Amino acid sequence: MQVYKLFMQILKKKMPVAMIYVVLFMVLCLAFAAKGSEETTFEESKVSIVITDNDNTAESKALTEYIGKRCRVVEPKMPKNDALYFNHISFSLTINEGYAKKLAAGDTDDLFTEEYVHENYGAAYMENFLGEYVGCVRAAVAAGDDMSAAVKSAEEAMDIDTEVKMVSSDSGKMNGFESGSGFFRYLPFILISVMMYTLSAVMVAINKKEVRFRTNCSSISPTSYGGQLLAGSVTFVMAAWVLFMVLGAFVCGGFDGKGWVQVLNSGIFAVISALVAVIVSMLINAEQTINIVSNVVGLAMSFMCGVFVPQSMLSDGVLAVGRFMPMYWYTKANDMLTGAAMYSAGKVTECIAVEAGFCAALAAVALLIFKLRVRADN
Amino acid sequence: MAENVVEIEGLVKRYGELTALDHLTLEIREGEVFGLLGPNGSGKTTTINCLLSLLSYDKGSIRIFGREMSPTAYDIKKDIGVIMQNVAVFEELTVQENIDYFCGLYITDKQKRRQCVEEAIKFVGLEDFRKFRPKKLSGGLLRRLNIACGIAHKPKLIILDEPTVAVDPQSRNKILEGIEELNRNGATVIYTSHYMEEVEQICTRIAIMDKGRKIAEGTKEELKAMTKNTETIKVAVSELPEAVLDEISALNHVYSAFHADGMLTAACSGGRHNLIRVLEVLQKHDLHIGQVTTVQPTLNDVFLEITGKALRDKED
Repeated sequence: MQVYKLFMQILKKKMPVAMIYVVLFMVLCLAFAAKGSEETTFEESKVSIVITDNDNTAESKALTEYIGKRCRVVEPKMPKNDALYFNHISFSLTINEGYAKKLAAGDTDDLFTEEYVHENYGAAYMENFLGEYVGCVRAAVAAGDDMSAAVKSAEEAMDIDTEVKMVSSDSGKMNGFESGSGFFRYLPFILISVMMYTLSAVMVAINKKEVRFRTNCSSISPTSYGGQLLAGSVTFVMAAWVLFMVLGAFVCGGFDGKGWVQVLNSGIFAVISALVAVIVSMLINAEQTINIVSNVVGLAMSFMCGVFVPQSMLSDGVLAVGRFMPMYWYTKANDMLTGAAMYSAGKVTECIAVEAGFCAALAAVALLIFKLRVRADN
Repeated sequence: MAENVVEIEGLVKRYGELTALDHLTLEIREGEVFGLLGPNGSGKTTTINCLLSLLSYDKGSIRIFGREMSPTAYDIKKDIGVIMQNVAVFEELTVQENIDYFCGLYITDKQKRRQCVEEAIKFVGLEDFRKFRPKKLSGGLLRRLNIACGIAHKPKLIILDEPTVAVDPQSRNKILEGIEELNRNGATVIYTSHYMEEVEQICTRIAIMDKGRKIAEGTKEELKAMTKNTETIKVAVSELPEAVLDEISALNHVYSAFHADGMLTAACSGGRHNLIRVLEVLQKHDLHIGQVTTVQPTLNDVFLEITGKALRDKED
């Protein structure tokens, strides 16, 4: 297993560059995931408010307490008007004397004195809030409840929150960064880059004309030599893919049914990336060229196939070209699986089948180039 | 009589219209350092490539160690070591890892391989550089590593294809000494070069090639005997009257004489005491004589005489 050992030795030397990509990718994914989780958790903003209770009854205290739950009640360190002017508070509420009595009698006039800056969102919210609260209490009193029961039922009614779901502005589709979907969205670019910087680099080193010549002179058979190289490549591609999937499970918090289809999708794309890397290594002689080719292939495919810019935002012309690239089908399947596009099991299967077709075609191209090279050597 | 290690018979290799090897026949005996000498493009490397079955050929046969050579003759290949003109090592591996890898293509037994690698490192004197990557090595050390990679598995037949091209004189001498030592240790060596001094220095038998054909073969003495010229006499004489030059030209065994830049050059064929006779003529005419040298014929003279052109390329 001398050639296999050589493959691994050279791979070890090429890993640091690829690791930079992996680490950067993971950092970005985790950042996106964190950003995504922030966006998906709706939290009602709290208005800063100053309350002055001139009634000082159980009902006024109950209101003050309840407002404290929904708003941020502050004690301003400056006069109220100044606090309003400097935007330290949004609203100043004074519960007028006789609040409880008036409310019990069903009178809702002059219950409060309100001070606020005009066209202030917080003030509008508070007006709405107080109106709703008073309305609920009055309705309960009218229904025969005593004041304490009316206050309680008003609070219960107002505690019912509307369910909030984050949607993107893009025709109501789910946000692409939600949860760990960003991981699978950018994975093809990283897979291509990692394969180029490792597999291509190793193959270029091993297939250098002089060392290939020396190897051909040796007593190792081409079958054994090729077999060991293939074993090395398969080991690496498998290991890299498994590593990515473990990281993916960490970022996504595990895989569900569709998640496993994403895993399968990425597995096929890992093979495609490896084949592209092998073909590139056969077409270039200098390792320095890998950097340029990797950027051109990786970035061009990513932009044209909807990795960096959603497919829904790409022009028809770009998409028409993208269809001839495996990354397009990966992204299309991934978009359906993450909810960024309308899901259809049949279409996902179709995308994965097209990717498998690309695999076969690329393998055939690699074999053809290999045969042509052997013939050219003779 | 030693057995033939290599037998090439009627080898023809064509690249389209170009005939790279034209009915080449060679026999290389066990224990020889056999030199393949010829200018660039004469077919030396093509011969080596055919010999190693790296190139297919159109006609002829090649037998190594008495067996037919073919791309799948791995039992023959395991006893051949190849050292090419270009350094063939992995930049990513250390000196030791490189030697170990190439040795491992022939020897699978770890224990034996370790020993072979160690001996190869010592043989080329890279003990202090075993952990170095090739990039850190000087040109001469790199060549030594290249040699170590080719000989670590202790081959019986070592093929060196212009191993000293672009090597400094000190490293060149080291390499040549190493080749002689390998030969003393029992290896048969095929050495291709267009440096005639090297071939003269280390080869026991030489074949001179031109345009894919073997134009002469033998020991260096046998080859030199093929030339008309046996010695060239050079005498520094500031002025030489025409009549004296004619007298020298008319001497027995002097077949050509001329005077240029204060130097008389007389080419002689056979005969003894040519130098004395030339000096006697000069003394008779009371001419002032400066430095006197005699030059023995070289393989270049052999090549020049057979082909009418110099062996070396201009840049060499």
